Amino acid sequence: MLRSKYTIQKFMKMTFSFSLFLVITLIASQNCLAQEDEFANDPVSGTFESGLLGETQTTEMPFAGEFEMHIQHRFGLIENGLEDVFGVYASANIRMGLNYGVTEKIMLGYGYTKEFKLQEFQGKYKVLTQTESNSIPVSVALYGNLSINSQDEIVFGNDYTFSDRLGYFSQLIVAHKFNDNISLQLAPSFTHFNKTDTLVEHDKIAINLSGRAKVTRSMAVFFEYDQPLNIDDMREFTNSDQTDPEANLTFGMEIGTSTHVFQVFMSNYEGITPQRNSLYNKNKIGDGDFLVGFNIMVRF
Amino acid sequence: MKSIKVFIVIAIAVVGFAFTAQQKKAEAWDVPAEYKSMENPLANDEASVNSGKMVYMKHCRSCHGNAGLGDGPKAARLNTFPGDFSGAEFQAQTDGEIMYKSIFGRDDMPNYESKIPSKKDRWAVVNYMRTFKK
Repeated sequence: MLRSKYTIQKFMKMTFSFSLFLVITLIASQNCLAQEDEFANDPVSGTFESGLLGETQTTEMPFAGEFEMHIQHRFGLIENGLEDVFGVYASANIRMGLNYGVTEKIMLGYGYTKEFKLQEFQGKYKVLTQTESNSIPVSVALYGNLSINSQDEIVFGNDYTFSDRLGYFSQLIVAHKFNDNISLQLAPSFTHFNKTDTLVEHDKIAINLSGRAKVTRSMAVFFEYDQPLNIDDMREFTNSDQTDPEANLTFGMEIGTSTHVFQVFMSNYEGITPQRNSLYNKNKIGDGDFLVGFNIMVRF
Repeated sequence: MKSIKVFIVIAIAVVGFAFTAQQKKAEAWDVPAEYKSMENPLANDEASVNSGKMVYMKHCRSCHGNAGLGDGPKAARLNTFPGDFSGAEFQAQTDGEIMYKSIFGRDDMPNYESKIPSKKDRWAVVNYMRTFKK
């Protein structure tokens, strides 16, 4: 109970601070950009380097008519030190994915994750794009992911039906590019699994705050924080706070070229697929349960 | 076995030489009049040069080189020499001509319409290429 209250307070504080920061900066940036009328209504470019930032989706899309291949790799936890070379020799999780830009605003994609043999279908729709003059102050995208657990049906127990395999993740992503170097985004999400482990909730609302700062022309550092909202009133089981998912902190660096984006980072998440991460993460930030991960994205 | 190794080394050298030998100077490039006379709406100031440098380092550097000399790591693999942006011939072009060639491309030079969708970025990279002038 105490923990849930703490989580809500923390979330409220975080949201309030971010909103205030956004409003102040928007007013400031509107004044600066007022002179450049020629480009006032043009969409801003490169709010983020690609559609993926560490563990989260961004408002960026693949180019219309082009493919984007993703290779995502998560090593084991670093906790064992040199014994398994900070997780390098531990069992790893891998995802291969392919996204296609149907139009400038619509993306469709398919991916395959090693853990739980997840087959994923995902889509993203860019609702709004921030303009140079901030007449539209934010970029907004909707993201959805449907995962199908393709393990043997024996793992689903008695009364198996196909729908037991399905997990859903939907997210509203709101991003703002402050200048050529700094971008931030806030992304509330909703996760639902048709069938979960004993005493694990079927639904989870979470909020993601992430940002990127360029440190050189082609290199940037980024962070990402995911807070699951473990709200008592929304509980399905009275004693399920034992199985509540943990928050995630990801931080790392990114290098972007014309055709490739590389990201190397530390994270608490090991599931790669967003719905697995949101509902099942047991790695605690406070306990130092971090792992090394990398994403490689190729555009063609 | 030794002769096979020698053969492979010679083959690689011949193929490598063939590629370098074939690289030719770019032919004349007719830019449509509307682009030729197009004015750069972006002030050539520090901010636009910095933005342009970001675009250049991401999309252009690998062939055209850090200083625009046409000596980027991928340059040797091209059929056509990517050009020396520091020279008088290149710098004598109008901003519109440079922008047209940079964005629309031809032959070895790819089209960047989708990769550099922002008009501001397109003109910013022209401003940055002006800094290569010797």
